[in-house]
Amino acid sequence: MSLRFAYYPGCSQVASSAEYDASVRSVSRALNIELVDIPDWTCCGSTPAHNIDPRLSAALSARNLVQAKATGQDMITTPCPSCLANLRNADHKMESPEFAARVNRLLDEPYGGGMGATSFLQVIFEGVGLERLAREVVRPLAGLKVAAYYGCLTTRPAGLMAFDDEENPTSMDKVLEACGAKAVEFPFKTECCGASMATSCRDSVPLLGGRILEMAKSAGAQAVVVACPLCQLNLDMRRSQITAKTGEGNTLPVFYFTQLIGLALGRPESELGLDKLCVSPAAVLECLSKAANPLKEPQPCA
Amino acid sequence: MKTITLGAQADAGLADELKRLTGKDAKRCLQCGKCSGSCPMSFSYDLTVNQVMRLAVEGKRDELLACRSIWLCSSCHTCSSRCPAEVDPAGHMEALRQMSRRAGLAAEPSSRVFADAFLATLKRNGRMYELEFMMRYNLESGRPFTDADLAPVAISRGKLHLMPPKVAGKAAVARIVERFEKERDA
Repeated sequence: MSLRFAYYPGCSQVASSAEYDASVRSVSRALNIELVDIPDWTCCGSTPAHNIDPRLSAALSARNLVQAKATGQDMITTPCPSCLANLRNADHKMESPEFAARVNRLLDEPYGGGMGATSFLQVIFEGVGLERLAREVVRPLAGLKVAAYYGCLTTRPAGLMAFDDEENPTSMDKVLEACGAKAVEFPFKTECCGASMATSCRDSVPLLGGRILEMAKSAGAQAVVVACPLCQLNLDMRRSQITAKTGEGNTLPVFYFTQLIGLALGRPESELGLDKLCVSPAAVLECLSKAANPLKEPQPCA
Repeated sequence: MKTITLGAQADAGLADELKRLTGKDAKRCLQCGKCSGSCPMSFSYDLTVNQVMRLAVEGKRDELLACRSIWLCSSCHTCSSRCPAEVDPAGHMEALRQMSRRAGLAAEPSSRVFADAFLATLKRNGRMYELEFMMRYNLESGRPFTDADLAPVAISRGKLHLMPPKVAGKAAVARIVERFEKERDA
């Protein structure tokens, strides 16, 4: 099965979440997933555009659907759940000729439909599949205890995302277990971290993100693993703000799931942007490399 | 939480307007409160989500468009995914934000400024440019030091670019925004 997609990185992945893009590309090389860069892609409009007007949001996203079509592909993959929701929403809503006409008035080039979009997590889970992923693992994650945190938009709204269970998703847990990690029982898988409210409501992330981190810790996790750049930024870069508010010194690193897959596939650490994480992953990495030492009996991380 | 007297000054067209925007009928709301119990941002609200739904049915346009809750909703969609009547409270909150903005009633200036700063940044750059966005937000929100504490770590990790992104399509994005603004203001 050929895995070839038009690739929409999204704005975060060329700035605050460059390590997500880097690790997606690295994992894709290892698994023969062909990512065809969308020429001259632009912002999907993110949350502010759909808070302002549905047509504005659809137009900003549809411009990218038009650009993606020019690559000759009919399916986009993106690592960002928020971009994915916007791209899909534009395509779905523009099935209405009336709405499409009003959106196309805003565009240089009209969008005529026919461009699908899927998350990179879904590409790994369904496109590559767990069996093949497990076969490609060269450096198993040695029982590392991880809390798979999906956030809001990986599964919601269910009608739009049409992936996994909206209250208790398990795809990322299974992907990480195929890589040799141990996914802990984690009740806050789909609780909101505060999303983009951190800036305008400053109590939001310390309270909501703080709860998620504490739950991960009490579930026995050694790391939190995410699939969303905003979740990652809130739980990682904003850790100092969370700690200042909660007083809890939570030191769990927050990886992108693609970084851990990359490690398991034996990709060089330099390709995975691990040095970009704000909360140090050193303890986890050290335990993984000890476990992988061929001179010693394999030791589980947990 | 606020107390609002029902019955007086009802706007009978409000629920229908929301129905047109969301595709869902607020009148089917059961007032079970599951949305409010599920909402992560409830702690910051002046109206609970089920109150918002009830006021939509009651036609309390001014109270809704001027309430803080709609601007503090994080769009996580937990309410809509758990709603047994499938009335999509998240969709209603979003439609009310759009209406509140158009009516000039946005009660949370910081949330309104957030969207304005985002759109202005996008119009100039074609993609998000965090530094410009944060400077716009900090100047216009009257909270000049928002997230300034994160700048050192963001810059040291290469996560905050000091130069705008180079985007060939930025003129196309500017045209989208300009056409939208022209139609909106017409």
